[in-house]
Amino acid sequence: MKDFVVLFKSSSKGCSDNQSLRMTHQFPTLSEAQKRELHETALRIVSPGKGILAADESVGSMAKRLAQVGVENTEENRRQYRQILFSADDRINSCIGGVIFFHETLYQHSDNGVPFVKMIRDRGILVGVKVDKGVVPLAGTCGETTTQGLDGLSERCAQYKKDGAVFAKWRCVLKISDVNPSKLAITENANVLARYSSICQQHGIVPVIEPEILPDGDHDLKRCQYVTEKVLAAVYKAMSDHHVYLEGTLLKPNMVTPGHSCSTKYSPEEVAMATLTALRRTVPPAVTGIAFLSGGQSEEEASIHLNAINNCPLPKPWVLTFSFGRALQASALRAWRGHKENEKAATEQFIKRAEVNSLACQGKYTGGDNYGEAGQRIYGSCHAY
Amino acid sequence: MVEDFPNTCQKTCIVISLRMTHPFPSLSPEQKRELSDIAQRIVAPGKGILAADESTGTMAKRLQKINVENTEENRRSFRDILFSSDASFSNCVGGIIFFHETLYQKSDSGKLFPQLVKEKGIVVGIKVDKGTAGLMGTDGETTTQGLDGLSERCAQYKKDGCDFAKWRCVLKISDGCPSALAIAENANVLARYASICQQNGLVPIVEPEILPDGDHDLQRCQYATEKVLAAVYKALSDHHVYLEGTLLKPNMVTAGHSCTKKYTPQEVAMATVTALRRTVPASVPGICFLSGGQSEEEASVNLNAINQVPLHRPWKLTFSYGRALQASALAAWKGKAENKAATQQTFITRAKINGLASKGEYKPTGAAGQASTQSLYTASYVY
Repeated sequence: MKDFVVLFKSSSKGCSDNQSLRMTHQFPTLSEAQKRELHETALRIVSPGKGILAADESVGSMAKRLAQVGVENTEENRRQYRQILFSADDRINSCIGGVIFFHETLYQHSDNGVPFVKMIRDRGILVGVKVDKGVVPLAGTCGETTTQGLDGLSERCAQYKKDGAVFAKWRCVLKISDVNPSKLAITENANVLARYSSICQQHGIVPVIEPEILPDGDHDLKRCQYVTEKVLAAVYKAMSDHHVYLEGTLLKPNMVTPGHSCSTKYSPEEVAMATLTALRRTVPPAVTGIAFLSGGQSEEEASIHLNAINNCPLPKPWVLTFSFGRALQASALRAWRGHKENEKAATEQFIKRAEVNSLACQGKYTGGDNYGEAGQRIYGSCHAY
Repeated sequence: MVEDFPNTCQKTCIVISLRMTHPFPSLSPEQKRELSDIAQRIVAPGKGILAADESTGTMAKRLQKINVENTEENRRSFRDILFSSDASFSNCVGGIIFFHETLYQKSDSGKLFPQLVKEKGIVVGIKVDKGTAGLMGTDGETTTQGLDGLSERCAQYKKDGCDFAKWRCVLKISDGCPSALAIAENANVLARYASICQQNGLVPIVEPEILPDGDHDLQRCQYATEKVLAAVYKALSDHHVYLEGTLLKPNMVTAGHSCTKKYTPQEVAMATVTALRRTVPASVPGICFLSGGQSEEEASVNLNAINQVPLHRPWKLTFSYGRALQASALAAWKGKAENKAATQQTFITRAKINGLASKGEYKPTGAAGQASTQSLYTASYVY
């Protein structure tokens, strides 16, 4: 028994000097200072009125975006495009708490030779980096996937931290169908998200946890809510099992919406109720913030929904904000079309969307074409959810 | 089609589309509303629960301490004194947990106890578990039995005036405990119980008690509590339990009884609230602490500190006390009818104190005010 105690003490960093065999906090993962750093970083990213710009499209994803506006997918064009976003003026400082970078972009510069990371950090915006390496199939399932990228992740995180990143993002993907998501897909993706989170936190990097349930399909709102609840319950059980410090994490979930081909239409208030109900049933209050992905939603749709969520009468123990990619950039991309003379106009489009979402994440967005008159919206009874 | 669907699972889905709406919904919106309303009434602001569900065996111990014989009449008599207290105690007691025997006993006035209690606007609850059973291959750990025929029993209890139920699981801390099996098995049985209760219109109080026995420190208890509660809420999700229609009855996070280090109420409170924030979803309407081995005053002071913790608390944090509400009352009674008024007074005093504590407004005489105790809360990063 004595040997066991000695062995244990030397192998565990910072283990208690406690002579008693009774373990205090068994194998504590983070020191008080580490926890404080992670928590404060998370709080800064989701400060009131702020959200995340997801500018981490992979080379493959950028190919699709640029093709839509007739621009060739070269490294230079990708750099030019991100420059349009990053050269937005101070108006975005109060709207954007963090920017997620793709690896390549982390090491690119502006035309003036200023590193993008420096441009962002100098205005008090935090730098994040996408660290997963894409989805891979789960054999024996109906087209389901897990996400790879754990190999050498610890070393990569240490390097990213040196290079200016203080948060990371990892995307898992699930889908709804007759047989999906399967139990395997749910548990495997929850597990890999927890492993990723645990590794990030060891390096002072706040993990943004993204278990995206795709909107593909004709399922209704209730189905999406049910699935979202099951997926998130599994995610947080895995987080507990892997000893992840929840106060130093952020969640990036889908909003609860019907499938794209669902024939029933739902109001923003219904989407808000379903979304908030699902989150209240699964996401522990200790999680610092929830920053929604926009999925296939249009820019306006995403803002209207975020606004409705923040006006929903159910109590909200976490910040509810945005982590938008397309929903912040679509108009900017269209305005640019690869032409230098359009750059300022494109940047304006981005700033406009950033400001709208800053209002939406505070429940103060009153504009919008299809929104009709402002004023009391009917949220209805919560017992139907 | 959607309206038909929730009512039964036997009715095969009429929807032609293979796409399921909400697969096999367990409760209708009306059932959900009823459960949610009951839970809200029990933990209304300033209110908590009187746990008067001591089994016959447990009552033997209580009565022996005051040299009173453990007869059915004596047990009835004591409960009668409590339940017939001045109606004002219903301002601090939202629900009372009964033992089976007590549910069918009457007051001196001839009124059945459930009726007496309901007339005061207090919700009637019933202990439904049948005690612990050993888990083979563990270091003295247990699960809890009582699932057999539980659905029928719940239906009967609902008819007899109950609107909530209680089921106690027990875990302990030691070198090897709680084991993965004990955690998973107790979480599962709590979820089965909860599911069955809700089908019969009873709000389940979920009680995963981690005993304070041992010399472990505060951190160890917090760690174990977080693991246990994470497992409990995963099991509740797996069993499709409607969280808005449940209540949690956990231990506070405290050091073991034989721990040499002493902790302040603020430290206990911070560790407790931190553990709960990391595990209990905001949709759970209320958390009603058990008092365990704490004295009456300790239990009140700790509950008060919990309600002053400078962290966001999305659920009600109140009490579900047995001994911590009744110890002095029992001592005042001593089995003598002439002590009735004194007994009731003692009980009401304790109830009011805990009502204040559940709002963070309890000021023990000689204690510092809220403002000065705030500074005693260390940052949550320590926990």
